Amino acid sequence: MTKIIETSHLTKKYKNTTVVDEINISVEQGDIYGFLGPNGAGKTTTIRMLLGLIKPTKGDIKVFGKKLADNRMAILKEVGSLVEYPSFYANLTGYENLEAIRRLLRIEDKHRINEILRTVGLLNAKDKLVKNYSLGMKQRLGIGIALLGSPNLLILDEPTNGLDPAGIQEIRELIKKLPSLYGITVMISSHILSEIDQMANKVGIINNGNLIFQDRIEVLRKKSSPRIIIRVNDSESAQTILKKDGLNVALNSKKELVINEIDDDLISYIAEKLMMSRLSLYRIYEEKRSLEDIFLDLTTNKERDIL
Amino acid sequence: MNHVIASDQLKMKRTFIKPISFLFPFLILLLSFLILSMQKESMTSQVNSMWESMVVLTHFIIMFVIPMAITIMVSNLISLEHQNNSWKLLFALPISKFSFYFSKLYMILKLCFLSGIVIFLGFIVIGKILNFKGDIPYALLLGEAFLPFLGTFPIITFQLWLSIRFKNQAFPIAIGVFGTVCMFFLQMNKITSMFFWAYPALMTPVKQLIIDGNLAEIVPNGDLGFYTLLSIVFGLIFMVIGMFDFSRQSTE
Ligand SMILES: Nc1ncnc2c1ncn2[C@@H]1O[C@H](COP(=O)(O)OP(=O)(O)OP(=O)(O)O)[C@@H](O)[C@H]1O
Ligand SMILES: [Mg+2]
Repeated sequence: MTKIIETSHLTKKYKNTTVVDEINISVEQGDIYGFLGPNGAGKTTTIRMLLGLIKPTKGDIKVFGKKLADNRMAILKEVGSLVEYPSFYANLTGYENLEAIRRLLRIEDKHRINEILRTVGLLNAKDKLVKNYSLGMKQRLGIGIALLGSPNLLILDEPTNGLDPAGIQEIRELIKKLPSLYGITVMISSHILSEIDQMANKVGIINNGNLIFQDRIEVLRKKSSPRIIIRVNDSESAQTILKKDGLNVALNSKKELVINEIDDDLISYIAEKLMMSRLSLYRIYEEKRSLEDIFLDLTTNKERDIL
Repeated sequence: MNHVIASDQLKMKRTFIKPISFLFPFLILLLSFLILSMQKESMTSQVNSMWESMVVLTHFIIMFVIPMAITIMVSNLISLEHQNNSWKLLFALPISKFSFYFSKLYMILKLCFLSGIVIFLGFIVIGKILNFKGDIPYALLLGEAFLPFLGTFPIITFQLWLSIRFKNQAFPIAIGVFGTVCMFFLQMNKITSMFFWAYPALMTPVKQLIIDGNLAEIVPNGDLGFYTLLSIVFGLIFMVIGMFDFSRQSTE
């Protein structure tokens, strides 16, 4: 697989605070890379560096295998972006906004504008002034502007910001079809995991400037598979007993046993075993955790041991 | 370069920038016309030609109105990008930052040129309406229509720098107004008139001598070459500073 974005030890410091700390991002051809992190984690700062809008304090950035520092113009020709809030000219219509950018990018084909308007679903609103657009329409125009130059890489910073569930769904559908239809690689940031869960195939999670997770989304999903929680009167000795049987048992913050298996026979075996050992069984229940719980756990540094 | 200009042209749609560039020449011409039609009797008795008197009189209006208009036009043109937060969009495009700067500068210069043409044609119309004697002195009128703009070249690049530098346009506009007010005093003295805010006042093809406190003969302006040189030099200096600052600002 060819690497589309590759950073090594990418770091940004403002005065003495490190906002992005030695992160190694890797995005491959055809990926939809979800770049996740809570507010202030360093997502926008990273994206600004990827676009050459700010200079890294330390570290290297390669895009399409070329060093960004030496090939910025050549790289930007193939990149479409939307950073933080979408930029547009409020005094122009949606069509005119795209036309202004079309002129800048020297795209000969004027039909491209209507094509983009159709893709982002703004064809009916194209002659409306953008200052009268709803938030969702503005976001879609921002994505349209990013798509106008037929980029090979699309970098979107929180494109679903402020959208209602239907709007999020729409953008999700739009972005999902980009890699297969046009062969575009997408990097999309968000602070809500569920927003990009259904479109990203790869996820990077940034927290306090550190990239604390980066892998296929399935790996993250696995962490969210249900598990069994058992509350007993003496959890330490219960743990020792079960460990002797070769079972992987952890304790959570409430001193409950946590077992990452949900096989019926196994659970009944465990229950029997504990009762035989004269321990009092208070509760056995299944805990389902959403991806959001996992994300919260990761980014708030709680219960990391049992993940 | 042309494609950036074409884009900037479109961005000015529905803004006040173009209307201002046409309105302020009319304001100048209207004031000039009103004063001239009231004072025609006293002026025709003078030794000077009416055409020359018109130029001298109008220059007092021009030297204040043009720098003010330019301050406002530059501010409007630049705040278009500030208000819409579009610098970050522009800088992420594969286009050199300098072309964005030059395109803005070109826009202003072009509008100034068009305003100059309006003023030039307006002079002829006023002269015809008020029945000035003699042939139309084309060189004189062209000079008065365009030389003050040349004198504002440093103000254009200076204001461009400030307007790009500061997101809040209150500051650049305040400086522009302050400079315009100061111009009248700056131009009175040989030393202070070296300061660039004085140039619009001094860039005129003719000036009227004052002998014993009375208005006398109108003679060609001998200092024209000197102030033309200063205007160009300082205009270019502020252009380089502005460009440098612009390219730096965008990366941080
Ligand atoms: N120019 C700057 N000077 C100083 N600190 C900055 C600057 N820009 C960003 N920061 C700091 O860097 C940190 C990361 O900011 P960043 O905008 O990258 O976060 P983010 O992940 O995009 O957050 P959000 O989800 O709120 O958009 C924040 O704490 C912010 O205060
Ligand atoms: Mg952000």
